[in-house]
Amino acid sequence: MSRRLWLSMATVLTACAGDISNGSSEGSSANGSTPPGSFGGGPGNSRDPWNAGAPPVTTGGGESGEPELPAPITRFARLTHTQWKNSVLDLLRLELKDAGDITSRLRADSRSGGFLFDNYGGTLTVDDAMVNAYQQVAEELAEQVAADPSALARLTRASAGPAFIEEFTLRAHRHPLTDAQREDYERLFAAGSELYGDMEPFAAGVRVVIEAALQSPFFLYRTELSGQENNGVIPLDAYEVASRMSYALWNSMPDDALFEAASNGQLTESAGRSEQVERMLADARATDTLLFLHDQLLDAAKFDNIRPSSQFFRVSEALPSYAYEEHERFIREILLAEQGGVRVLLTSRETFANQELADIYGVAGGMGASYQRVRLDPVQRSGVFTHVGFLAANSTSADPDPIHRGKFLAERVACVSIAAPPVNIPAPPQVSDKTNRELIEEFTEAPGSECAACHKTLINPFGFPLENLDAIGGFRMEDRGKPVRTDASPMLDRQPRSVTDGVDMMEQMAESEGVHTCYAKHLLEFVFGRPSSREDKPLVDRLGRGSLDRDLSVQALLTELVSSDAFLTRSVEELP
Amino acid sequence: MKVSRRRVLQGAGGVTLSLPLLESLGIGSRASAQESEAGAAEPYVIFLRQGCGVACEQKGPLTAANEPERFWPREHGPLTPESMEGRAVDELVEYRDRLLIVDRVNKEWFDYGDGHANGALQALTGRGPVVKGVGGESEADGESLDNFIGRKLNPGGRDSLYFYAGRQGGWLGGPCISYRGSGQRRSAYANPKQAFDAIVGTDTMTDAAALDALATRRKSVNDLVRDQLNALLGHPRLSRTDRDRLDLHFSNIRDLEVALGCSLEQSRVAELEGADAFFDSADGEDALKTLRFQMDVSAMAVACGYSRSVALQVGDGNDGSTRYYDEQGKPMENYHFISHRRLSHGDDGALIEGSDYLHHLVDRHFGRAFKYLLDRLNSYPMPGGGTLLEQGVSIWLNDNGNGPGHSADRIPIIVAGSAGGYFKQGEFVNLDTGERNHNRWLNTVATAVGVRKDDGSPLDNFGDPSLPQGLIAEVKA
Repeated sequence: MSRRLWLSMATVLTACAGDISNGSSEGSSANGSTPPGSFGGGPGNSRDPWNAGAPPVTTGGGESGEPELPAPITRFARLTHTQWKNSVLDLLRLELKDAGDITSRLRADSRSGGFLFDNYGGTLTVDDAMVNAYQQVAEELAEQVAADPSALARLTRASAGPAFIEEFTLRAHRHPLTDAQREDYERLFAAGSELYGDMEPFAAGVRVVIEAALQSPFFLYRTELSGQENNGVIPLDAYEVASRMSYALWNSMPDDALFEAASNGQLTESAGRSEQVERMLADARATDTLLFLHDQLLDAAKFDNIRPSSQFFRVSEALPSYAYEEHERFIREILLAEQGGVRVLLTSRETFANQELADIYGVAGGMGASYQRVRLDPVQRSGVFTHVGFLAANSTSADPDPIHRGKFLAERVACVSIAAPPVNIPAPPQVSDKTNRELIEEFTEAPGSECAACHKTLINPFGFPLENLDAIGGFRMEDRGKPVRTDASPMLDRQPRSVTDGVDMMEQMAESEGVHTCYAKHLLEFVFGRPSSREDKPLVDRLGRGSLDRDLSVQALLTELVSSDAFLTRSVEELP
Repeated sequence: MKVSRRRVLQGAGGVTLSLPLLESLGIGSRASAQESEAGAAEPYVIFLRQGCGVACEQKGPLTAANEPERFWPREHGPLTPESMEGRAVDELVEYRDRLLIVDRVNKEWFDYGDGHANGALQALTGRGPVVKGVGGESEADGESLDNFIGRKLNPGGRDSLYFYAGRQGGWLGGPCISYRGSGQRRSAYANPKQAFDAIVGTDTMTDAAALDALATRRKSVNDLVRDQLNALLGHPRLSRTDRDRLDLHFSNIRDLEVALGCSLEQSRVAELEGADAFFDSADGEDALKTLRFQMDVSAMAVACGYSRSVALQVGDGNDGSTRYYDEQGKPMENYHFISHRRLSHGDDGALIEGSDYLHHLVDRHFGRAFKYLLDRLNSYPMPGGGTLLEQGVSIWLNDNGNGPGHSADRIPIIVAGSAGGYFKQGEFVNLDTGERNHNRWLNTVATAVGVRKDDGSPLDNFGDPSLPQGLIAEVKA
């Protein structure tokens, strides 16, 4: 019985030489001519709420001396479904169990242009489907809150319309209202007793204002309206900074303390921002957000596709969920709880396992269905890419898939660009007694072939070192009766690096500037909700070096990121 | 609230008092201040997209063997039971008199860097990529026809309906055939109940006074929201990208639209309730079950005049996770594997034994699903005779001509309904010109359902302007 992977080649076999890039290289917006410098922003025109309380910022350069400038970005990033759910619950001070599964009312968003994360704000739209869904949920939750005295009491201490509007709409808009906006809400509140004639007037007013606020563009989008240039950038005002911080760290709206910090000027000072960031990172919402980030970065959703053949492996149908549980616990309890960074991701010898996973890892068992922290064989394992989830999700049901393993590591972990494969790849050779590696080498690395240009140098060398970890992630020394070969020369920092096996490769990757920079680039893309662009390079490079040289934790990298000038300002250039 | 029964009583959009599947009219019909007062029966289009090509005759190094013809009718000319027998299209033999099967519609080979991207992203846009050669990260460089028709013909320019059945995500990001413009991919409904709720407006109120009160409340809220959006649209530094997105939001805020005569059987609605579990599934049966629900809502939507354009997409860019079932009720390898004839997942050898036949079985799954759509449309009688089926046009199409070769030639185009007499019926037409005529086909569909250029002439310039323009006369009745 042969066990071969061929389908993977259909999407990965390539005919052209790939491009190797480190760090930020996407995008093409031009803003590089803006001169570096520093300035004191300070509070703006107090009568213009969009320029109130703008924090002082500098565009002082990173270690390279290049300025860390903001790249053009949408002024209206629509909330992702997760952000919307979190914001609705936080705004109304509801528990999820009380609100129900409100995200199921929203049609799924499409992913655009291969962006890794769900928050590409410039592409998320409010179409017919979303308008209807937002409206239905707004009406239902407004009724629920307004009709429930305890829910109403949680939402507000106000007993009159103006006080309620002042308090509630600032939170809903995540910004103080203009006079005109306030008057509109007050008119609507006053009409409440007529629109809901069977309700007590205050509750009726609250109900219709909630309906409106939940459909307001100021709630549905993260609006950034600041427009006053200062030293070549546009400083965000304190409330806009608060929103950036809260959605970056919590995937939700600011809480009362952050609003207070925006209001009292704390966010205009570096120390005040740092205090808030530290507070927010200690909150469970930050851990949830960082797990969510790593779910997408490491493509944990793909674990669902794990389907090992029962001909070759005795594992349960629950293996995909076990793999995800391991992943979640590793991220929460090892990477984040212990302030780990890129090196922990790539080189930790510890993980969590139940009995089935322990059997695969070959570690002492006895844990049954419960998960225990275990130490893996350091000769066989190093980091998350030697865990069951990644390995099995990037395998056929029978064999390792060095092409997809390699492609993932090259592109997503080392930021090596690989061109798309050609179409109409001829059928591979029939069964033979060759090892998995030998067959793939024969098929993809033939001298002068279309495929070899990318496979031989960019893809396969990242996949072959993991050939000693089989289709479910179990360690093996032989393949079809022959010794497994794991030596290869993956491209790291633009140079082929000789590695002996997967463990050696992960350890070398953990010392690669390109890998650290690549991780920083992904963090930046998640935080900003857009692909990185050339303006980001100085910041990404600085973060990458901090990760490499100082072993900065994920939280420390985020702190650097949200403290950067680029985070606190907008580009003077708008999107096309 | 404006309540007009005119459309219903005149059968506009296909809704009549005697519809078998609609509830009896209690109060009124769809009503909207922005809705046009179209009175005549109006053609519509429903696209059903399948990926990965079909099991047609193939030879050469890409295939498992010399594969026999299993899809197309046996001969050009009138469609007969004999000409369709044994081919996947014989699932539709009952409707042969209302079918038009078009042979040799050929797409362009744009540089998408991937045969699936070239097929799927070009399917309704007629355009190449925004960025060349990026494969799975590709976006189409233009608006898709389903969106274009909705924008041109729907009441108030309402979005056309776009459904997606299958696992979210995957190759090309999942839903990938509908575009608002260059690089502006649309999101799709997976859960048909969400679309149903949007169409019906409110499915719980039957009292006219309560509906009036609801309309008043929504208008009050909408007015405030519109004012806020208008203020944002006036921002001095607004980019075109942001303006387009805010405009889209603004245009979709509508005051109460109640389609009281527009509904499904209560039992079908009840099935939709709480059926979320299979709307995001790699199981082929779940995908097809979802598709049938989506077809119910699609038929209802065109019957009610809610939308004159619907796109139904099954599976992601290469349908790479859906596992359909064989004749023994066993799940096959995922459809992408089957279509490539490539072995994986623990099977023998490099090629999947019998995969060309398994591909044929998948084609038949789609054929039966398409027939289900036709059954639904055919159940709506029109006031002047005939049914909703003939009133519009339903098109079962495929991204590619075949699986292993990702061919851009001989794209399967199965048309049902004449769009009110525009298309030939009961024929297997051979275009046989060898030209890249896909864009001309798209123009022909748009013209058939009533899209005209500003000067009133038939649309002839949709898609990439460098490709052949005009219409395809051979398919016209």
